[in-house]
Amino acid sequence: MAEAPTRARSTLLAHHLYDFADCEHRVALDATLDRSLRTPPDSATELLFEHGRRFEREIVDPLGYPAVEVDDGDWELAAARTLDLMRSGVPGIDQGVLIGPGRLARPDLLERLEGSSALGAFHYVPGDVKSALSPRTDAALQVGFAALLLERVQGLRPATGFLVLGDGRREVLDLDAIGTTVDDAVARAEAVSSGLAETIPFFGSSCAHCRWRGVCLPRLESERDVSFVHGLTRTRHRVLRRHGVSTIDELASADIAGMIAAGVPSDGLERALLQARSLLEGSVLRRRAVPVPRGVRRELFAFVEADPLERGAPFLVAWGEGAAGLGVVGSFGVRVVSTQDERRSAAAALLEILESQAVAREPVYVFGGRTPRAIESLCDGLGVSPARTGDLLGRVVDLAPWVRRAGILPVFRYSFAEVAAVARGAPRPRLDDADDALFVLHAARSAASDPDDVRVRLEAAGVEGLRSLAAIRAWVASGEPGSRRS
Amino acid sequence: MTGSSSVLDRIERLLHREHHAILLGHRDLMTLPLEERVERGDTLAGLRFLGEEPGGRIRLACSDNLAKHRPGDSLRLANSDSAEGGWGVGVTYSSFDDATGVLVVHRDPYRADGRFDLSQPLQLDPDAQSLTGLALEALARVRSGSGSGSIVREILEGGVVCTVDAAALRDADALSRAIAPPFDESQHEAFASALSQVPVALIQGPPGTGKTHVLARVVCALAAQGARVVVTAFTHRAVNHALRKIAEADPRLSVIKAGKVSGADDLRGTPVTSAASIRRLPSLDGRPRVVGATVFGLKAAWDADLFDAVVVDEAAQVPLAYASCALLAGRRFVLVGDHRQLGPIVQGRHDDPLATVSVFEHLAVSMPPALLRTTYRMNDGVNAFPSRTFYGGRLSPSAAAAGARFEFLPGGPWDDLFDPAVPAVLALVRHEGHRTRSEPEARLCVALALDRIVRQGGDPADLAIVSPYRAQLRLIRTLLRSGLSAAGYSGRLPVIDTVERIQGQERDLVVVSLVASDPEHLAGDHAAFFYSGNRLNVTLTRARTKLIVVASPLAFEAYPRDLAGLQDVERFRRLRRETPAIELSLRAAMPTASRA
Repeated sequence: MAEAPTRARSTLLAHHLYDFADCEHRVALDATLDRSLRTPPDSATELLFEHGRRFEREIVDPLGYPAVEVDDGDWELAAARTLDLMRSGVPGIDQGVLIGPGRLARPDLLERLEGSSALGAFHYVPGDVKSALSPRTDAALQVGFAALLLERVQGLRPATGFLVLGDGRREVLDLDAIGTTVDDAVARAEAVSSGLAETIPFFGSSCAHCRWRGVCLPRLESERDVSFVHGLTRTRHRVLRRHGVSTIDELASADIAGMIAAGVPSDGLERALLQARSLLEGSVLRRRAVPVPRGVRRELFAFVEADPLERGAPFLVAWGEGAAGLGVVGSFGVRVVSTQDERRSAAAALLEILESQAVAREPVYVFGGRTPRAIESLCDGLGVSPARTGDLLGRVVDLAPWVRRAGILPVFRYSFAEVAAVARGAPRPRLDDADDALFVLHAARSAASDPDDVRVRLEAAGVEGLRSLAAIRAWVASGEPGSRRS
Repeated sequence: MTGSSSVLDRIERLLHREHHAILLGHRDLMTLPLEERVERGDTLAGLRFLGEEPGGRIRLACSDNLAKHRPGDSLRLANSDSAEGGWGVGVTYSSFDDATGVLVVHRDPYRADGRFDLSQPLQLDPDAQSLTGLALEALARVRSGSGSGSIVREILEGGVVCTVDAAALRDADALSRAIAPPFDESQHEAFASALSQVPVALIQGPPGTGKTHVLARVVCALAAQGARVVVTAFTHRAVNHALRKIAEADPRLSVIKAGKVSGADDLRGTPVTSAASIRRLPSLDGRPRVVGATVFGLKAAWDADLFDAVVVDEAAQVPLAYASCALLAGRRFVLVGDHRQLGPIVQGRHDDPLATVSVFEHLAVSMPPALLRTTYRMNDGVNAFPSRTFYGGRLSPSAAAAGARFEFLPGGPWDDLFDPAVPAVLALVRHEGHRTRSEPEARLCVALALDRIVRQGGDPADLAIVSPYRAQLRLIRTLLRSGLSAAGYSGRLPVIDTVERIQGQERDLVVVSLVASDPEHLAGDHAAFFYSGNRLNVTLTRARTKLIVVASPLAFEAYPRDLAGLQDVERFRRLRRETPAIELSLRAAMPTASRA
């Protein structure tokens, strides 16, 4: 890095706790590097942020709580205003500011509860509004951090907090049940932020969206960092580096027996070495046919994408059918849906195909867990009986685990896009490509302002998804040596 | 998605999915190479035929058994994957004697569709056996309300109101006071509750609290009152264990096990008699009668008015989805279990949390169980953390157990770890990046075992080494065998097994190897397994007087992605903070030969 590290911003913010669980190096970069080096949010991430802000206001505004403004970055003043409001016993506070030595949190909500504290016969508990549909660790740590700071002003660390989730549900967090973990996370994040604990860049699944990707990814690429090898964790990365293995090339040519004798954990080491070789050679290693469940006469493919910004509602429903064993989509259907009626209609059409007499017992191929979850959601929306839904989902064959058994691929994450590229002989997707549902939807929306164009692009994405599924299905079962230069 | 559906709808969906998961899971499993299946603990290979007794009891020589199989499991005995006629025959796993290496299985007359060559090596693979059809049939009865279906429906849907019969409570109170050896206070309360509360009473029995003792007395009392009682559980082993205790508690009772003969192997030599099925019970002989069967053997009793009371043992291991199979057999229910210990085993991965919930846990939400609060197993130090963490501090050791101390011979290299004054201790070895096998930990565990057995002359039968991972257990067994052999010791090995296979057992000294030291790996899909609070509870509560947990500090430092995982890890972090620890350098832990 050309930039001289400074510890100019060593204040620990709540979002550092949010980041910390994902990538601790991000916390270190926040504390040391000039913000101008950050990569601006891509349009999909911006959309996510904007949606988050809008959703937050939808939840918070109707509560009518007084809001705390921050004037000219004067956090001390904002914290004092927050404290004044707390002392006055208002039922809730919107965007209150809590500070402590080297710490700052701004929970979306502070709400008053009965129970004595230094403020009187009541105290406050923190809460955040999140678009996610289930409570996640990063969000819980953020709320726990706010609770830690609340203790300074009310003399009581609240035993509970809460999250308002994407479906509007309010989830009470038992903060006592995660208190030690919050303390540990805060201590570790502060050590990282202040430079006491050293971190190094590491290629992980969140790099594609990270604000520091412009700093880390070029460096990792130029150094051919060993973290690109799938299956390595930060801990194993550290162990390998300590034993002199820092690059893909070094791992690919490493003496496994020597490394094990030197104390490198042996489980999974051989696979990691082969994964490194596969990346270097750009070819599939240990290729073999695996007995993936196959249809008797016909085979089905399903590709359903759901929109996290619309509470996980499916927006793209695609299905295809082909003769057993060929891995080719003979006929297909694609529906782009945005209303409840459209979803019900698509679900009915999907079921009609999947349950039709000719294919009623044949496997339905998918990749990963998103499509089965979306199918279940569609069936629920249609009021399908549990027996039917259970029987249908029981036929689903997830190709993802079969891919790994079929060979070691020259890919970084074994994502659908990467695996499909191998199966279809296409170039590997870029490192910062995000292939989630939001990307598919937003890429289509941003590329075409005309709704019909959006629909056409999404339909094309659906067809491509089906073709990729079929290609993966055929590739997994064929066992033919595959080779592709990266 | 799941919140709006009724419990019965959710169960029905789960059963359909589970059925496919069982079949597809088995099909996928059998496509794995043999070595991988053995490594995963699904298959036992290299077995040798020793003989077969009338009734299909087959004895096999097995040099090492670290498979997942448990008594009652449906397996297939065959020569190999590819041998001619390799389909083999269906058998039921019965028992394994570690000292002699003899493994016993029983032929299953309903799956005798293949053959095997006695002179060739044999292997045991799991068989796909889905009993979801039976559970769906039971669920349909519950929905229709036939027999006791309407009561069961109310119970499962959370609509039942339990009442206490004051007269029955008085009688139970008097009866309880007369029982010898006398009940402790919480056993007394649980006994009285079981006899007076209708239609459901729950008894929660933490480790070593005399759960089966209370269950046996409840059954005897119900039978003495004239109630027709059936005792059931998810496995033959659990049913048989309960029946043995009942027969011991009241020799005047006629105690009968109904079900296939292979499920009654461990009842040989006991007063418990066997019947082929519920339909073929011997005629009454004037004595009060208690019948036992697994939940899958009760179908004949659903509409037949054969029983008044159903007593479910190990009810925290009966999946809610299968509960109807048991509950339809009567109109009054006593469920005994502990939902803070290992729960039901489910084949598929289901989004609905109800999939892994036991009937006991489900009911305990709305009907607080009677908690047995005195443990007769653990001393004060071993009991302290589990009591605080899993039982709200309500579990206390009996006076005799509390002060019991580990007896050991000082003067060895590991005296600090064996110190009886510290009943529970963490041995922290700073290793990094291990997932399922850690040589530093294995060597330390072996060094401790060698010191205990060879230098101190301790009985291996009073020692257990426990780990979540089979790969680690294999390594420990190999190293320990070699160490014992080098020391000229030819006796039996201590128990070296997974937590799942030692639930219900206890030892003076338990050494636990946590193995994993890769927090990011632990934070992923693996978190639910490794950090399971229930598994931790069972792990920590096997020891009577001395518990040594060998681990890397990194085992306590993961941040799983979901909140439930975070709460599980919190218990590990507290264990680390609240348990005395001795830090050992890698060098100190590894060169065991020099220290031992």
